[in-house]
Amino acid sequence: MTKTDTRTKRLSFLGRIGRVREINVLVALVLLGLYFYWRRPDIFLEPANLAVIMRFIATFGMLAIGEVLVIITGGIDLSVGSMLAFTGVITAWMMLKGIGSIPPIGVVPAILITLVLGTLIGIWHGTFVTKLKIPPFIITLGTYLMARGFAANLTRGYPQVFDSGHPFLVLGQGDLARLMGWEGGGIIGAIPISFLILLVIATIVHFILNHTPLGYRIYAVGGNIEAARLSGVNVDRVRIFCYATSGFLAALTGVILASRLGQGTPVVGSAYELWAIAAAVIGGTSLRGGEGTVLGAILGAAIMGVMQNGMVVLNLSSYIQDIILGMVLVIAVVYDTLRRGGGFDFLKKWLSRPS
Amino acid sequence: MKRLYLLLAIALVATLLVSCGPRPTPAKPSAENFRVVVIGKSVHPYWSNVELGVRAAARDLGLREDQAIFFVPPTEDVAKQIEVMETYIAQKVTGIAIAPSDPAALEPVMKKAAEAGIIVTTLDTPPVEGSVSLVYIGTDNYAAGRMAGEVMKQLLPEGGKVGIGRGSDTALNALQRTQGFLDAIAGTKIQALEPVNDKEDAARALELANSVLSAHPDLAGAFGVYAYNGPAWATAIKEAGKAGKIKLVCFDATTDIINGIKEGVIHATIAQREYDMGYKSVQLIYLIATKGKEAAFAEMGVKNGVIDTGVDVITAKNLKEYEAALDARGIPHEWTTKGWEPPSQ
Repeated sequence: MTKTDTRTKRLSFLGRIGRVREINVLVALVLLGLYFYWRRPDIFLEPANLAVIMRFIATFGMLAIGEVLVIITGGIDLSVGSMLAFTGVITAWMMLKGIGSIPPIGVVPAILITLVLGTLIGIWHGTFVTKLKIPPFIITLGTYLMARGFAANLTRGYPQVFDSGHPFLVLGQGDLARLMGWEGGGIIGAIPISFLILLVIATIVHFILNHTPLGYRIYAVGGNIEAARLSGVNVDRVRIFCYATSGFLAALTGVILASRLGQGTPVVGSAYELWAIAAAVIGGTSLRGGEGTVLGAILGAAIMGVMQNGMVVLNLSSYIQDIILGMVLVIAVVYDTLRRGGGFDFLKKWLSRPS
Repeated sequence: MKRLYLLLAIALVATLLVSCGPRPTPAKPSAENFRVVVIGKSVHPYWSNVELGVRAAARDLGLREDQAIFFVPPTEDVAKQIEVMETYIAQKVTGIAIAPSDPAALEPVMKKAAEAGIIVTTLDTPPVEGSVSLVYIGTDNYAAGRMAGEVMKQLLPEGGKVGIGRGSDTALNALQRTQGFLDAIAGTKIQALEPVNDKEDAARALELANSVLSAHPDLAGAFGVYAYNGPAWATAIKEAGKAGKIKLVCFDATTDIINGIKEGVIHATIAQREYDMGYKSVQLIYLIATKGKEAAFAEMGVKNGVIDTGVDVITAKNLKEYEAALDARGIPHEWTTKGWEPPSQ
């Protein structure tokens, strides 16, 4: 431990930056951005276009943060995509129709109830995983089916549509300019409210992970669960916390998306859990647990958001888009794995071979 | 281990008991044991309207509730459709009308049903060439797409770029609608962009519409292929401050689409008659079962194995008439035109 510490201190400034794991992802992101900017300088960095990308990052960054927490502790959460549909429908339903004999309620209570509901579902996952030793894959897959089924059944497919001008819609459709009452406001003014919420959430979770005993325990559980248990960590509680956070963030994203779309609809969130997991993994989260950061998750989501938007800006055929996205995912993960596992040694040896 | 044996024993006894019961006799095509099953694709307002049609037909024909069964999987699911068909083949129902999510994959099980003496028809999505399906009842998606293209042509006499949003690059209805649209605008000054595919996700549809609008500031028109694509375009167009300027044509008549027409951001929508598909599926199978194929075909106007249910083109001009037509037939709708008047022009 002390050995690495002294070594880190001796590294130059640049060397130390290079040790930040996310730097590779950041470089890839900047290169991608530069490429699209080079191809369409008139459009790519326009405020309206950046707002599209930021909204994407807000959605998938939020979900990816939840996944990072769960994956660090050696789990997985497959429910988040369906949870979006479910919580979006529930929140719209509470505001517009009321559930059962309960009359419609205001915007703030509806959002709060939805967030509590999402957290409770997360606790439900965590409890099954820890107390009943059910594989996380299975218990969250159960919610994946139930949540979507419930959303579909409740609505029978009919979206619950808000009138334009409903105060709830500010959350998902508004931006900083609208929030502050600015005229225009350029790129800063175009920052969507959902992106600001992501920044707040990211800061909080980052702080918890890096500067609190809870964060230390989360990594400890992921690194070696038995060692953590033996050293007195309440392993179950730590893991339940992670699932609860993932459930909370899925509900928050569901509420924001319902506001964004101006309706609670069950046709939303399909395969989002896979995108969120992909964002986490691109950002350096190890599916074996123990490793992962908030910054990485957001950068991973940003790479996918820039790709997705950039390919539309270039008017690429959607048949090709998925092929490219899939390749980017594979390249990113293979690169990261090789780099960490020293897999590039063979390349170095080959390059330094006397000719 | 003991418990396992016990379970096995119980299962064995249960199986024996069930198989000793009265053997189900093949349903004779009489009104008493007539049973029809309509299998849809997914939980969606569209399929809820099909179900209403099924219920209405059953009522009009004097059938009991359990004589006309409607089933949809929560999302499009070919395996589930096959499984449900197998179940009803085993129950020897009189007829099955199915909207195959994948016509080629469903054909073998449809064949099995036909061989078991069950009347098989299709609705919404046409079956494969040479299918055992006696009749296809539904929209000609190519013709409907063409209609959308014709409307766009009228809206954009000067031409311009048109964005296309759809939920699939492989589903037949998406491909046929797109092709019909493209064929209709071919040879005009309208230039269609690459269709964007949201994989049946409303949030991604909106994000893609935003991207297309920011990528093409000179966009003149937009075409929404699936029901939620129209509202996605509408929101994106409003956000870009171009409501009314960008000509928007879309599909289906959900509440948000009608709201878009009332606001003037959606210029026209092509509404299918899904209620009729459900109604006519039950009616046709009933007629075949009771009066025979020839008489039924003649009565229902089957042409080349097809009943084209047709489409309605809804614009601000005829929205009130469309509502009146729905009300006259008792087809429910969540929207209303009360307190709204079409713009005078």
